[in-house]
Amino acid sequence: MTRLRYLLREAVDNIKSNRTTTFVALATTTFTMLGMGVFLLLYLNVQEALGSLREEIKVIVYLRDTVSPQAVSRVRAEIGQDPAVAGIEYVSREQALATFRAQFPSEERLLSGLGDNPFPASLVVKVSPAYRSSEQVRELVQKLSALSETEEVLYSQDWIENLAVALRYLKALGLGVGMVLAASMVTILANTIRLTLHARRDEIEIMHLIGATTAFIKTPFVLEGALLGGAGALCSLFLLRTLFGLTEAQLALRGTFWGIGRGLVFLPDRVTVAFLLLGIMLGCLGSVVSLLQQRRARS
Amino acid sequence: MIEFYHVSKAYNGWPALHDVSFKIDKGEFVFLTGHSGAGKTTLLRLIFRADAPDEGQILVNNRNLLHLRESEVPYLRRTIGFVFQDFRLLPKKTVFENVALALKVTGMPEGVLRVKVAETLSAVGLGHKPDAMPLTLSAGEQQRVCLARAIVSDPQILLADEPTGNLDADLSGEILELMKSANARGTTVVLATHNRELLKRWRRRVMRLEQGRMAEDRSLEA
Ligand SMILES: Nc1ncnc2c1ncn2[C@@H]1O[C@H](COP(=O)(O)OP(=O)(O)O)[C@@H](O)[C@H]1O
Ligand SMILES: [Mg+2]
Repeated sequence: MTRLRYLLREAVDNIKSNRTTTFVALATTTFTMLGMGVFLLLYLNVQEALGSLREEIKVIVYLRDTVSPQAVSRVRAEIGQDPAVAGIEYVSREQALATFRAQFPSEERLLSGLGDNPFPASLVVKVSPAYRSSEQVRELVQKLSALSETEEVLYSQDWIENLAVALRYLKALGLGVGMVLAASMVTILANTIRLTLHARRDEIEIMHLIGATTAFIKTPFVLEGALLGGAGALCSLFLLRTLFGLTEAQLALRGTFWGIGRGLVFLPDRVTVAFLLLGIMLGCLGSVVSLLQQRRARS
Repeated sequence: MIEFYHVSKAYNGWPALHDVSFKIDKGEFVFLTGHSGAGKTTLLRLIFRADAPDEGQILVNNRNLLHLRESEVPYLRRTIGFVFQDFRLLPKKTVFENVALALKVTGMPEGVLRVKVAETLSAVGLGHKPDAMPLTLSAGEQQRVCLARAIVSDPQILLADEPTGNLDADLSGEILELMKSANARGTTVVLATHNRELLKRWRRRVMRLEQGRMAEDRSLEA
């Protein structure tokens, strides 16, 4: 316990005695981790949006004008049997017209040129959560298209799939950028620790000569790296939270979340903790790298 | 306690020690003398494995240093106190911290450590200056801090490299007295010096090096 306190104090002394270097290291660490955080946040939000879009997957079956009300209820019952179907809503021709009028009042003139009611009746089919993969939806659509009462089937799957592909690209890009950022952070911290090691080389030699073990001598430097990495991660989290708040406020001001889901999400607690741990780990790694380099240089 | 068998050591092909053999028993007090450049520092450094010999065998405490693993070196060094010719104090740490470091590396608890350091500092006459920074001290005081750091852990062996090199006769006498009392407590002492005055003050075994060779090994009886 005494020992741990001593080692920690040594690490803090290291940091204090190299204020400028430490500040530069902390600033770069902060911005590097901020970069990673932004990507993480972007990814999480697109993923979230995709999730809520998937919840809204609807398949719309437009019915032929000739279909009788009895036939409609028969088709409804038949479709309802399918386990992929979570719910069905019938929209009559009149309802469709009314909805259009309500949504696009300025297009009244367009309507007048198209006879009394150009809208077909439709069944809006909600897809069950377990049947939302593209193949399953496509299968359902095929089944629905095959019904003799069906005029046409429309569904929103395509661009959701496009978004899913975009998300995969984003993930790959984020991983790539994240790795580059992590590597540069390790390099920066390794350099910082190397400067400390250089500044204290006499001291290190004396410690060796009076019987200090390598672990005893090196631990403060590893702790220094961990402290820098952790502090950088913490600062970047604060910045990220601030940026997040600003973005959210801006979007709220414009009254738009692109119609997506329930607004933006910040990093969940678990991810925040993992993010901090990542900073600490990268810091330790930086120290270890510089200690290894130094040992190679000496032998 | 310390045994050398045909030990040679060269720096860049230039022999600093050549075919040196001797044996020092537990509890002995030995002066190691010789002109500047004779190899005194080299010999002492070999004992605590700050350097390795090119040839020959060295036994310390019946352990052959040739077969000592790198990870065991710190533990060898903890049994040896070393007073450096150039002091080697940490300039940014207080006198107390400098001395305490020798105990901290062994993982000694803080309470015991404080007592031991305070005792040792008073023993070397620096009990009133624990918080001074080394560079504000006189050469004699720095030398005593260095000595305190070497003896604070009650080492089995005390090696002193020209501990009186920069000091006047009075101070040299004081340092010698401190080393004598360490010896009286059972510590084996090897004191390297080219100060002939010191040898006259206390008649003990004298080993004289000359250009890296053992020119004379005069024990007490002779
Ligand atoms: N690290 C070193 N590199 C090169 N030569 C050295 C080194 N240490 C000592 N020597 C040489 O070895 C010889 C013995 O030196 P040293 O043991 O320091 O003598 P002393 O301590 O008796 O004055 C000298 O010629 C010195 O120049
Ligand atoms: Mg010398």
